[in-house]
Amino acid sequence: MARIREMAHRMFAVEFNSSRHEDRGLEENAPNYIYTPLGAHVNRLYFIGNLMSKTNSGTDESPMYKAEVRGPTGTFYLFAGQYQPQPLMALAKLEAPELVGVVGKVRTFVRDDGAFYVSVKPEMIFPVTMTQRDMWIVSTAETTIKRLRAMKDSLKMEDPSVEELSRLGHEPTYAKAGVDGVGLYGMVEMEMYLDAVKGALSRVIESDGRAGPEAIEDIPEDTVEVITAAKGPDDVKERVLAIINDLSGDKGALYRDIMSKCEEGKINKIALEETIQELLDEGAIYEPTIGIIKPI
Amino acid sequence: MFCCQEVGDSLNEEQIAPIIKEIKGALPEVEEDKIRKEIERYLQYGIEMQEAKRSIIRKFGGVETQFRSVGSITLKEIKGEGSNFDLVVKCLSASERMQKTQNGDKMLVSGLVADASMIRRFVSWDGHSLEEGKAYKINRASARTFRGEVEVNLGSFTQVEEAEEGALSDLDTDALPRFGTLKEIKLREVRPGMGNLQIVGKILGVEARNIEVEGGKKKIFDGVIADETHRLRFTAWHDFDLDIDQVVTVRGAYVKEWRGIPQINFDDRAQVTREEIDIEPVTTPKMRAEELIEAGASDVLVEGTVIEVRDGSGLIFRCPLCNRALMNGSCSVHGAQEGTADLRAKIVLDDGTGALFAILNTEITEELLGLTVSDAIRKFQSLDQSDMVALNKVLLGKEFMLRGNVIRDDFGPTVLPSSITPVDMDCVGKAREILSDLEGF
Repeated sequence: MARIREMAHRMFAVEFNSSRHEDRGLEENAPNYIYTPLGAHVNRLYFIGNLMSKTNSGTDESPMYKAEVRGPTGTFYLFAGQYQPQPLMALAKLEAPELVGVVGKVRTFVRDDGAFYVSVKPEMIFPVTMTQRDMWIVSTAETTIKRLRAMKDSLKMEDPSVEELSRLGHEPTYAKAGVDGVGLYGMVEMEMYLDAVKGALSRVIESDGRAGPEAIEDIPEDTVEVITAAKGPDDVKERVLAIINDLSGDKGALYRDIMSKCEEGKINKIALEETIQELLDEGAIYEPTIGIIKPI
Repeated sequence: MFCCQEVGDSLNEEQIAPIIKEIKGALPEVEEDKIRKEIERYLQYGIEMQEAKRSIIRKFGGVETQFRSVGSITLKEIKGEGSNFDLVVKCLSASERMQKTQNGDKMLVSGLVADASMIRRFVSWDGHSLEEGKAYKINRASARTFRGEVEVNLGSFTQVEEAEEGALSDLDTDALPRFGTLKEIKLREVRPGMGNLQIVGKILGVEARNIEVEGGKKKIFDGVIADETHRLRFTAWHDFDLDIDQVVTVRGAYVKEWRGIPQINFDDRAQVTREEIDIEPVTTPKMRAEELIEAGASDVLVEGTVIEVRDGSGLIFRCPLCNRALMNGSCSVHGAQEGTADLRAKIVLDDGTGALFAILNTEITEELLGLTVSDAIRKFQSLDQSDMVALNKVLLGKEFMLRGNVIRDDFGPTVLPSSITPVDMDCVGKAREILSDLEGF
């Protein structure tokens, strides 16, 4: 069977940008996915926001556009090159600010120090109306809430499984997201996503009756999560490795077990993630399956 | 020269000796050493032992029938792809039919057999004929899974003889389970390739039709069956006296597909009973893309956002001979052609559960653009405006409800809508509703 077209996830920037795990697949030409903190397995996404800026870092003949599209919960970063003809043409014409819809694929970048970045390789960019934006916010809120609800139940479980979550009434896709999210990210702080959803919905209510595109949405900079990665001191690395060795049986250690042990040892989540990434890069540990870490 | 190469660590002498003996039984004139080497060679290539044994025997011209069977089992114990088992069964029904194969026509016998454990379907491929009502001792039969059911297969290695007098004479076939376990299922969950289903539905229409089969004409019954979840076409290969508005339970239905759309089939092996209950059949079900990726559907609603207008949309020219769209004024079959103008749009509709392709026909595209085909020729050819730009403008990022058939192939589902309507949403009301549902999350 040919590969079926990937669906376009409706997703808020806050969830997308907080993603720290990718899935490159094992087959040749397998599509590239990320796992978001709420467990969505994303290759393509669709979002609406304000085109805030566009910069052509290439030449007029072979343009390379970098663009920022700010939605109600944060900013999506776009990179469009020669293989994205439609977005290039659209970006050349559009003047910021402008309300746009973007369909695009996930792009990931891991910096030398292990910091993980996600951005979007656009496939289509087009102007949209406020009504379209509102509809997008509503459906994105709905799907995000379904992920949050599955996540909430999954976090309560000793050993979360798709079967158990399905039994609680979660649709299969969301049950799987609940399991994957908890497996990969452990204790997800749902508050942040919940607030983002509420904030976005409030904008729909506020915009009631307003006609044309609204002015640039003023989002306090601090809600746009900035990805920083301070190198963990070596003793943290040693402690994390010791914890992994400690927890690791034949099959390795569960990521969330490592996380809770680290919490006891006052190693915070971000430091842990970065340390794990470093250890993975150094080849001291590996990830036989998602959510499981094993020393080499 | 190397000799006595080690067989991986998987087999030791103790394990290999009986196998050699077994093969030797079928190949008495071949030396044991030679057999041993062959086995080692096959195993090194990772070939499974049973398969290796068979191949070696065949290679040296032996007859596989001399090969040992796995012994007697009951019909219930047969697993999906087992082989070389022995049975004692009673034939409940048997019919012959001609089957076209690569080597010409072949007479197959198929029907039902039973023992004290259950009833199963059988197919005889090599001339073994069973007679209804008689009991048989069958040696070295095999099994395969067909339409989701395990079936007994009688092949050239199989030996069939009549069983001893009185065997299985007191078999109460009415009390026996039919082959497999029936799967109770709603019509919405029916997928191509399923078998042995139990469905309950209302007959919304039925029509007799005569078809040509081997050995003359046959009357079959086509119609539509519906429950509260879905509506499917069906074909009954036997006269069950079906009539419009009847509510029936069909036990033993199987599923064929036409362009990816599942169709219920049942024949004389199925059991059809009328029910007293009434069913409120669904009118036009609204379906999600994730469902349609698994099975096409006819006359359904889908709702989603247009996220792409694909190449080949807009003003196109069709070959006057075959109606294919011309590429640069040339038909892929009939060469350069004058071409008849037409409007269409090929879109990707995504509902957040999956992606659907859709092909919008002339009428729909005319309506969306507010242009007739002749307007379009004037506008897009003479005035040199872009048809793609015009289509993108009316379609991209917009939400639509499509109604029509959804066919499915290797590339996924394609909607062929007969009508489309823009979707309107009370966003503010909906946003308030969601917010209030979130209280106490």
